[in-house]
Amino acid sequence: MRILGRVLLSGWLLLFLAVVLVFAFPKPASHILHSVAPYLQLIPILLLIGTAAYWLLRVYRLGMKRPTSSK
Amino acid sequence: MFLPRSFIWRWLGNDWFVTEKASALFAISSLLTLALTAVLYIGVPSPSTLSTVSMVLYGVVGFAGPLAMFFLWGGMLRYWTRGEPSNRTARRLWFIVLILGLCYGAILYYTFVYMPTVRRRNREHLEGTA
Repeated sequence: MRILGRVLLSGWLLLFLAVVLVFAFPKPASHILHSVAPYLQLIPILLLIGTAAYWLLRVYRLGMKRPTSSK
Repeated sequence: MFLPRSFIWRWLGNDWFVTEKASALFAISSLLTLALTAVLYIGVPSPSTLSTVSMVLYGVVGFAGPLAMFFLWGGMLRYWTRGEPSNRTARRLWFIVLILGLCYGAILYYTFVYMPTVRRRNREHLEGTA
């Protein structure tokens, strides 16, 4: 769970870094990003799905950890 | 606001959830959510055909409705994680209702779990102090 959280955080940071690099150095960044162009849409979508799943799991585990009633 | 452990929920604290004030706020949020759904379903009539009072009411529902939806859903999720202990099957079922039903699931949770629990708690508290 903790590893998944770190992977997601790294993924988002790398994505934002890539966006900043594209704005700061458009020409060199376009050369580098050209190789991963087919995946540019896939990466944010995967990150969004992964983050939603991580959030759901965390909430579920938090709620199920509580003591149960005797009923 | 969305994470049950964070933001306004941590600031409000666990005790706030079982107060009459909180219950009333969640009731108003439920009504606003239903009103907004009705407005979106029926559609907004032309402003020229509306009276001033109606326009104000539409404005209130349009502005407060979306806020109420998030407040209610976040609040009920928070209550689900920290609230009254229940058996695991019921807890699992209500989690599915809250996640898939979003704010409408939260209205169901408010009606069938939260409100009866808070009422019972407050009644017991009053009997205990009397």
